[in-house]
Amino acid sequence: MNIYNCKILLVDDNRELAEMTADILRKSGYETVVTAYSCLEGMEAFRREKPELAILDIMLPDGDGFTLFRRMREVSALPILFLSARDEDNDRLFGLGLGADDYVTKPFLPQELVLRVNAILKRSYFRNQEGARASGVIELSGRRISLENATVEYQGETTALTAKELLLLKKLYANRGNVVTFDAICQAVWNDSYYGYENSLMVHIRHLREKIEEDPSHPKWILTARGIGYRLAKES
Amino acid sequence: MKSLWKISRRYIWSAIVITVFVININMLVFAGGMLKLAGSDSGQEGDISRSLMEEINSSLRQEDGVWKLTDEGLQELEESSFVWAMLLDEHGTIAWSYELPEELNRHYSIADVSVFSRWYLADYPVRTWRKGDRLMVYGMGKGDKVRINVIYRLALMEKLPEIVKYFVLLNLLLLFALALFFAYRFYRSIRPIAQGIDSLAAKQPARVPQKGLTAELAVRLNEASRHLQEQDGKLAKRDMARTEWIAGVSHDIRTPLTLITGYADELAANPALGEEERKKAGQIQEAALVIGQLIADLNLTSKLEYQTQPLRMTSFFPAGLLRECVAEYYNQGIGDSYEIEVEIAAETEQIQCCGDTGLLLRAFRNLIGNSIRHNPDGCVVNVRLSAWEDGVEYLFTDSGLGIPERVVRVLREEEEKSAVGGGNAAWRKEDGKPEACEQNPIHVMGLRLAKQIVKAHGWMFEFERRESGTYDVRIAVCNHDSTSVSSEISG
Repeated sequence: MNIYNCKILLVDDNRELAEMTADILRKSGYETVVTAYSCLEGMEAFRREKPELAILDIMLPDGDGFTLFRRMREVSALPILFLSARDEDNDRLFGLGLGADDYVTKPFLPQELVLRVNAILKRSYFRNQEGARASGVIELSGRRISLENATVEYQGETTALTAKELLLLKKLYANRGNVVTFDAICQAVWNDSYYGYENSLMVHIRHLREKIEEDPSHPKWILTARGIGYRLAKES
Repeated sequence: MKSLWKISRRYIWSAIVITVFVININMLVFAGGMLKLAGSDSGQEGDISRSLMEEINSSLRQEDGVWKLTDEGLQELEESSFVWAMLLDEHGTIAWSYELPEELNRHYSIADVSVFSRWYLADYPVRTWRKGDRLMVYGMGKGDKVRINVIYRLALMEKLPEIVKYFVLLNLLLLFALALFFAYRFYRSIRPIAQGIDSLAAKQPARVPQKGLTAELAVRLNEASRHLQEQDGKLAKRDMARTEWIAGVSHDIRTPLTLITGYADELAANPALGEEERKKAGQIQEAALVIGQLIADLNLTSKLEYQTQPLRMTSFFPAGLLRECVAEYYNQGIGDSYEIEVEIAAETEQIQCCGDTGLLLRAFRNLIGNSIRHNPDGCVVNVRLSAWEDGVEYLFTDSGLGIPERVVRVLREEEEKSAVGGGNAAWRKEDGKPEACEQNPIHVMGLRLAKQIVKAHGWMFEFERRESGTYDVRIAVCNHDSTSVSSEISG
């Protein structure tokens, strides 16, 4: 089973919008997208179809999405995403505070919605697979880095990564392709703010580069975003 | 208490000035009188003076054993206040007389002379003057003059300067005490009024007791307070209605915008359509997203303006927040022709401030986004963070055009008009048309929002002029706690 086999329930009182959103999800690969247009219909569909994910509008003709959320969560722990035209911080915080997995405001980029749905489903049902991947192996210019064993293998030689180096690399790998700020790295590695760790961070990055880069002076994988943070380059 | 001292001081000074003024006037009048009297003898009026009596005396001569008054002497006597006169010889017998009343004796003993020379002769006030061995007696009309004989003890007169000194001192003390008393009474009577005015200034209802010296003022003040409260209530209601209306419209527009975005995305990815059509669909999608962002900004700007946007204050590192914002830009992709430089002074890394990080990120995004949007050929955006007083300051610059002067002018005018209660119509001109409708349109929403967010935190948002005439933005973040200003008089 993969994420595209997951059944998605979409509840929105605007039929046209509901159909369009369902189409977007179908075209992105989701095989079963069920639509409903009110709280009542939504609850019936929820009981009948037993979806893996619910996407709820907040303003519905016979109630609100928050109430529907509570009623669904009473019987199931399924992931729920709010899709609303209400952009108030209060609504967003309230929704997330209830335990929603995400909150997307209209208008949204179709691609963004699909990515968020993918992420929720992976997180909820395929965590082990993802985890296995995260603790798996990275190949960087012939170097085989095992996140599980904290080792770097190159031309038959194995070099060990220190605990801090491993945490650092995991953080960069989790955000591969994106700049991770010094602050976020320090939070992940030392569980503290950046202040006081400026030099330590630089030293650890240098050591990590020495272990995984071909030419540590001209790094190809761990790139510096000057003044901001570091980025683990994607495979070309 | 400071006000009580001020009022007391004023009262005391007024009392001193009034006293000095009255004393001076009295002294002037007294001196004038003295000068006038100095012109006459013995301090007596001219028509009964010593010189007059001497002259009359010298005009009375004895010729052949008979006393006669010369014509000049007679004229002087008639013109004087003396109504009669007599000359007593050494035995007390009348040797000469003028208009002597019938009721008077013709002979006087030493005792008689002693009594009338000090008091009255048969109720006639008299003056006496020696003429050789004789005594000249001048009589004035009954009830015309008053005669006072006063005798003081010498010891008392010797102590007079000291007595006067204590008298003046006591008077000054009394003056001081009375001034303080009246000052305190005045202070007490105006204190409720001052407290009422303070309440009005703090937009609180004023309830001043309507009694005493300031009862009438209190009635008017209470009435003014009632009117202001009513007006405030109406304004708050209007502002709330406007904010809710904008929030409602914003919500209603989002659903059709989502349809536009979604369908445009579908069309843009449809291979059955031509390149041109797909490109246009992509542009429609982008435009819809811009409208969506503008609506969100409009909603937020209205809430910030009417103070209905709650600030979720948390402690944050200004350096970390800046890095987060710039990293977001890079991670979203900013195009090869753009670069965002970050210069963070080492000493700012440890500084922590308190603010709504969500809103602040939005303000920073708007400022960096402005530089990117208004320099389509690319530019280098530079954000510098340095220490400032007990906080930090951000300086947002770019290698491009900078913020045009008219944008800065519109925002400054808005602020000035808003300060005098112009509300959100501040960016409109007198004729009701927004300035943006004149010549080329001015897009100030992003900048306005950034400014409002910074101002909502009580921080400084300033435009720094470049040599080229355009502007950069400086944000000064301070860690001061706002201090309440208490009114002086209510203390």
